[in-house]
Amino acid sequence: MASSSTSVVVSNKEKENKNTKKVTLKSSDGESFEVDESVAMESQTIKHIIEDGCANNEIPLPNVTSGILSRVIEYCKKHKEAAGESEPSVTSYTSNSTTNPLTEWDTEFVKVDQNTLFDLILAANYLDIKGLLDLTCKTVADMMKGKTPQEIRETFHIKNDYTPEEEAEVRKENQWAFE
Amino acid sequence: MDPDSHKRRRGEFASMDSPHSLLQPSCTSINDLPDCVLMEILAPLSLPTVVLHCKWVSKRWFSLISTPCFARRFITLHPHLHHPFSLIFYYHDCHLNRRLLITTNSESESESESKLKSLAAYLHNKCDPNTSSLLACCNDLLLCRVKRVQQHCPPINMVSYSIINPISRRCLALPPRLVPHFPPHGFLDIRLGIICSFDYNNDKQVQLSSSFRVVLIPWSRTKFTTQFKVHIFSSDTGEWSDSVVLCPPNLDGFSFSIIALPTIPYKGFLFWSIDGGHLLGFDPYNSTCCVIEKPIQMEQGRNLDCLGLCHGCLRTSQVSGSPHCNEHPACLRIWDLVDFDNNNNNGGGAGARGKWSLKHELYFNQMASEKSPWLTQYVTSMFPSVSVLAFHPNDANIVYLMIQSKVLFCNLQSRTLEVFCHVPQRGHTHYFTYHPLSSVLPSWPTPIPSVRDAIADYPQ
Repeated sequence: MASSSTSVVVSNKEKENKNTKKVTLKSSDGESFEVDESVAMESQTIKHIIEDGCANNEIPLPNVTSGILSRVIEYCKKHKEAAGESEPSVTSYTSNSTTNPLTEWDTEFVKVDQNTLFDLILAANYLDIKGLLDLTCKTVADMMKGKTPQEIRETFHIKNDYTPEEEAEVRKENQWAFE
Repeated sequence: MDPDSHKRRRGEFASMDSPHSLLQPSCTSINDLPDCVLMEILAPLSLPTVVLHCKWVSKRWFSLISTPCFARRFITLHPHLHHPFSLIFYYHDCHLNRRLLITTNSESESESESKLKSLAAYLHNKCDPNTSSLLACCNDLLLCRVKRVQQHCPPINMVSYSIINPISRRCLALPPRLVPHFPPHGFLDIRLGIICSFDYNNDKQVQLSSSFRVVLIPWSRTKFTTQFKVHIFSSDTGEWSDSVVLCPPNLDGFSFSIIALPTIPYKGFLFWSIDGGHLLGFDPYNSTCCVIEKPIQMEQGRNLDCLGLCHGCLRTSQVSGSPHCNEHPACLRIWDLVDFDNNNNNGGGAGARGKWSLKHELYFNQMASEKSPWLTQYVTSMFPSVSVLAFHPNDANIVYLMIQSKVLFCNLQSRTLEVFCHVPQRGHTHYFTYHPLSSVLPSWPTPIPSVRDAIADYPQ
């Protein structure tokens, strides 16, 4: 198999204009991903690096593993396509989902295990991709709705650092809140 | 794209890290998120979820939610558009006991029903209407006065005030004041108010805090000519202080209106109604006064009959009209204050500020009720007895009226009236012992500094 053509051009499925500028993103575990510059610029962090001229065609992202980076790229590509010719869109999740055609895709996208979800949040935060951050944060927030504090702790494996005495005191003072 | 394809190809890229990263699965959890990100997750949630549940998950979450930064972000994401508010007022039931009535106007009926019940139960518990009174409010802080008569000769009124936030169930008792039961000459009336300043923007504070002032002005029902005494409680010092304030220059002395309208905090001033349809404003933080002169279209000889806030604007009304004169049918006029910030007086605060702009002028005989024909009949009769209860804080087209023991919802645009609720009072005339308080819940509950703040003592 000709490794030169398949392994380098990773995620472009459509026929792209040969003049489209590409950048290479390198994950923390050394894997390189070549993407269209416009897709990469969905990330404000990457956008600034490119605009500052420090890109040098390969941008190291030491905080993002390849597994997460590939998902992030997938997200950016999908949203860039949907935005069409307009500027990198900032998809706001407060908008009505019936008007957002990507809602279904996004819902599927975040159906991952918790670890991956939090990795995505951290990556979206580090790379400054508002749409992805909003989407992932909202997913986590939705998991909290309607749960008691104990249920929240169990869902997210949070250690209860109140001693039994402190917790009893808190409950006593705020009995009405726990009804 | 299949993420697993990368795992398969990983072997092609001889990197020192790759075998290691294959073996180490991600164990990122919510605890690994930085505060700013955790804030983005929690701040969009509803107030009950955040305050009642998320806050108690762990100490870290507690301290995060208590910062001014969080409150600020929360408020940005929950714009102050349709905040539930409660009307709190007193009436006499058939046994002449004073009762407290609380109504609210929030979005979902079922949710508000149970919240209202617990709110009402709490307030009834904390402030028994027969011995105490809720006298003033600023957003969600209520000022309560309890009078106890100490057997003494002459008997002494022990008056104690407390601040209550019925939402967070916090209560702070202010240091007590002794008031002589029978003052040497005539009556002793007290006008009071509470104003709070909630500083969201001070990030140097670790915990969110607010400062408030309670102002008491004793009034012996005579005219103040040059100056008047004020007693101010400051939450910053935890003490009362007394001072003397000069009367505003452009009035020739003033006297409070006999029927006290609710004291409204607005733009740093507390406003009381004074005779002549004017308003006296006092800023307890700077000890300055100002005056808002009466609306031009106000009917002479009568005072304003309601004062409140609507959309952040000061609003007042007057029901005018004479029962004996056909030419003056009963009319409701509503004014909004404009131009308050324009300082076209020398020296600013001490002069007249703002002017009233007439927003609505409705004649009752032009109003109608779709659901209650008896109402239509009543208001189109010769002289309906109508009082203005309160303004809707969020909707400029709505005002609450009281007719024959019913609280009505009046739409000023469509000129319609609908019954909102019934007040089971004795007789039909409502005596406003105290004008209703309109308590608007802010996005974030106003904190009350309390002496025994056990939670704040928890180490981070």
